[in-house]
Formats: sequence, structure tokens, C-alpha cells
Amino acid sequence: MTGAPAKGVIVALVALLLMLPAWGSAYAISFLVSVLLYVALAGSWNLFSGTTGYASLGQGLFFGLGAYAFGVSTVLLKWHPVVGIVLAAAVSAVAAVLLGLVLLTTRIRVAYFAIVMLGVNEVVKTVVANIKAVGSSSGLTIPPLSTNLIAYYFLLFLAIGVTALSYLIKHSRWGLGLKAILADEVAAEVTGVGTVAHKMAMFVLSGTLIGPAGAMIAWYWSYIDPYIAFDLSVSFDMVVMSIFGGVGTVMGPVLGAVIISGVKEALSTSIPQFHTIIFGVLVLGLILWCPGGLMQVYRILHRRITGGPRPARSRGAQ
Amino acid sequence: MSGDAVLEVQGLDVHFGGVQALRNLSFTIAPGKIIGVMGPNGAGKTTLFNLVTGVYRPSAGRIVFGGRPLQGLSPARIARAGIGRTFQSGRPFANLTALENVLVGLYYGADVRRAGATDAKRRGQEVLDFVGLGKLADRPVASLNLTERKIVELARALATRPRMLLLDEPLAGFNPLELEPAIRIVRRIRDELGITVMWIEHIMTVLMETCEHLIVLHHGEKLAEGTPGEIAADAAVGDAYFGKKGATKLG
Repeated sequence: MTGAPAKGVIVALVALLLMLPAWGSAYAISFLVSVLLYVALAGSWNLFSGTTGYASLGQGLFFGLGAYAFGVSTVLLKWHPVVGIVLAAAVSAVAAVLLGLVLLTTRIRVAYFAIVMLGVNEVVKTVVANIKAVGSSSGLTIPPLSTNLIAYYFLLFLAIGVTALSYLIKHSRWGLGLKAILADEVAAEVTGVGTVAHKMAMFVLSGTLIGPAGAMIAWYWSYIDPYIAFDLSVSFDMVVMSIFGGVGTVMGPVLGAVIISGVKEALSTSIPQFHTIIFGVLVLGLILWCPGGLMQVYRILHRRITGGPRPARSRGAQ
Repeated sequence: MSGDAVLEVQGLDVHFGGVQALRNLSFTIAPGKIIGVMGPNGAGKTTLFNLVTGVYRPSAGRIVFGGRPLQGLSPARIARAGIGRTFQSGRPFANLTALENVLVGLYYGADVRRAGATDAKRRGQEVLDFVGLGKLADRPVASLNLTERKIVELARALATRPRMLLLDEPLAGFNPLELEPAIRIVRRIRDELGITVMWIEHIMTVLMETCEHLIVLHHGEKLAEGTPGEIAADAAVGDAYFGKKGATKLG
């Protein structure tokens, strides 16, 4: 997705999204809030897991931590919401550093990492549900947003920021080092790539971007409890969306988040009983048929149309 | 005695569980030499490379490179200190092009100068030209054959500007016609770039003809060390390779 036409499309799309609240309905805004949230989440997940190959099944942990950092600071400490959002980023960053020091400084197996992250999310959920000061399992009620447009614009900029960052990193020297790690960690090390530093930096970056998204959604919901803040479906959705769109690509998580949010919304309103089953079949079908996700479909179609040479390996980054 | 040694290994021991992979290994490598490392399968040759490059940690002993102890350094730090290596099976980055493989070495290797992207590409092309793969610069490594992949890996190691290069069976899998050009590249690495080379190979005639000095490992211990002539005449080496009662297994 490079070249002048693609750039034009992106600029037009961003302009449209910026002006949309002028005529969009309240329903459209609330739908787009969730789409933009997922673009930001899937993009942030991809920044670490898509670039390093360490799939995190518990990256929603940072979403929950951000939500609770915001809830505690605005409700219990009566701090300004802006402070709450900054705090959410800081708490997520610190948590990511600590977790990263434990999980990423030794050579942990990729599969273990995925499960440990899932477990950490569950442990934190249970711990939070047992802390009386933060409302135990009944949660915290947060003073609501004055207008949903605050959430809309915040998440729009976050989603654009995450995607832009992903693009810049992919095309930098750092990005080349990450591709080397993805291909072969030991070979990358002996070529001088500090693999721990690269993995840590991307993990902390990913967590730090997810935290503020959780904070903003806590504000938008005006209520949090441990089960919605640390809901595993948050963790899983970002994985599924990234894979659906194309792991390790810049636009994959964006496409995945937009299409899956849209399909979910359409299915859940039209066939509420079976939508999760149909959704599951759709995702499974694409992943089996095209492991590189939608971006691979795009590349194949693009090649067919332009008649370009076949790349030797059509699979996306594994 | 570390005067002009590029690599000093003293009393190196490593065991994995109950298996002693290397035992009390000591040797010194003078700069600018091509040193062959021989030994039957399981002698500890690759283990030695993994210890020198920091991929494994020794149980005991020390490794000093250019007067600097390598204890506790990560493989990446050791690579930046000036030790490059290739792997037995050939492990270039399959998701990158040949040139990108070399760029990783240029960007992350020793003595990194903040060169512009075009300058880096030009230098990357020079490295590929040096090993004779200039025409394949933009080819994805996944589309190259085994020989080309292993040469790309060699180019990637060269791009880190090492003072010493560890080659782990670079010729394994090459057909007879490909051997001579590859050997010539190794010679030129030493002759033209002044890089000290440590070279593991199972083709003994190649090591005998190309190396100035040979180290023979057997069951994790140094069995013999010397010039090719001395090694050829060494009775212990003959026993290790062919057995005392006749040929049992060729290295």
C-alpha cells in the first residue's frame, strides 16, 4: 500500500474521519469509536507481536491496567482526566518493563510467552476483583464524558499515531533488525542485533499505547469492573484482527480491525443468536485459505492485475 | 603471553547436564591466520564456536578476544566486538533479500558509522560483489539455492566488519564444482581483508591445503594442534579418525 494513489486514499480517508462528526449520527460515532479502538489495539499488538513473532495472548492486560489507572486517579484521587490518561500510559509502561524483564530477557519459547501473558491477565483480573479499595468485583463508576466526540477524536489520533509509528518503524534500520529477529533470533544476535533491547522496546511501546486506549474507554463507558476491563476477548480480538488483516504488515491490523468490527456489528444485529459461530467460521476460513491475511490477498490480486513478477514467498511474515 | 594473539582460550569447560561437551580446552590464535578446526562428529567443534560467540556460556575457563575478556557479553556485543560467524546449516534471514541481509550486518556490526541509506546500500553491494553475488542483491533469500544462501550468510558476517570470522562447515552441501570458488573467497577474506579465519570443515584435504594451523578436537578435548604436516603425521589423530584396529568411521 504505497505509491501516490494509496497516499491519496489515506489522506482523503483521514480528512473524512476528521469531519465525520459534523453529520454522522450518534450511532455512527459510537460504532466508529469501537472501530478506532480496535485499529489502535490491533496495531499496538502488531507493533510487538507482529514484528518479533512473540504472539501475546494477554496484551489486553495493558488495556485493563490503563482503565483502572484512569478509574483510580479520577474517581478515588479526584485527579483531572488528562492526568488519568497520562497515568494510564505510565502504569502500562512500567508494567511492560517489569514483565519484559522477566519474560523477554531470557530465551523463552514463543508458545510459553503467549500462555504466560494470558495467565498474567487472568491473575491481575482476579487480584483486582479482590481489592476493596477499587470496588472489588463491582468495579468503579466514573463521571461520564461530556461528549462522545472526545473519545472519537482521541481514538482517531491514537489509531493514526499507532499506524504511522508502525510504518516508520517498518521502514527504519530498527525495522530491519526486527525482521532479522523474526527470521532467526540467534542469527540476528550473532550479526550484532541486540535482540533483548529490540523486543523490550517494542513490548513497552505496545503496552504504553494500549494503556491510554483502556483509559479512554473507561471514561467512555463511565464504568469499569475487573471482568470488562481485563476481558480476555479484548486480548483475543486484537490477535484475530491482526492475523485476519496480515501479521507484521502496516495496513493489515487496520483492515482487520475495520472489517471484523463491521462484520461483528452486522452479524450481531441481524442474527444475534449465531453471530459468533458464523464469525468464527469466517475467520478460520480466511486464515486457512490465506495465512498472510487480507494483505496477502491484496498482494495476490495486485500482482494478477498489474502482471508483476511472482515473489518467491507469498506467505506473510510468520 | 597475550601480546599479539587475537584469540586466547584458556581452560574452557562446558557441560550440558551430565554431558561434558568440552574439557579443559586451551589454545591461542595468532592474527591473520587461517586456522582449521577438525574432529569427528560430536567432538565439540560447533560447541566451541557457540562459546566464543556467546551463544552458550562456558562452565569454566576464559575466552579473551583482542585482549578483552568476553565473559558475560551477549552474542550481539561479541559480534560488535569483532567476531563474525556463519552456521553449519546456513542461516541467512530468509524473509529478506540478499542485500538486506548484508545491510543488517552493516547497520548492527562493529564500528557502526552513521552512514546514509544510499551509502549503506553501496557498501552492501560492494560486500556482495566481493563474494560474487552482486547480481543477486535484490533477490529474496528464500528464492536462492543452498550454495547462494550460505554465501549470503558469509557476506552478512563480513558486513559486520569482523576482525575474526568463524566459519562452521561453509562447504557442506556444495557440489565439487562449487568448492574451488568458495575456498578462493575464504582465502581472499584473509589475504585482502586481513581477517583471521577459524574454519570447521569435514573435507580434510581442503583444510590441509588451505590452513596454516590446525586444531583437532576429539570427545571435547584437544587431541592435537600444529601445522598440516604435523597433524598428518600425528598417530593420535589417525586413531581418532580411523580407529586403532582399522577404519571404523570417516570424519
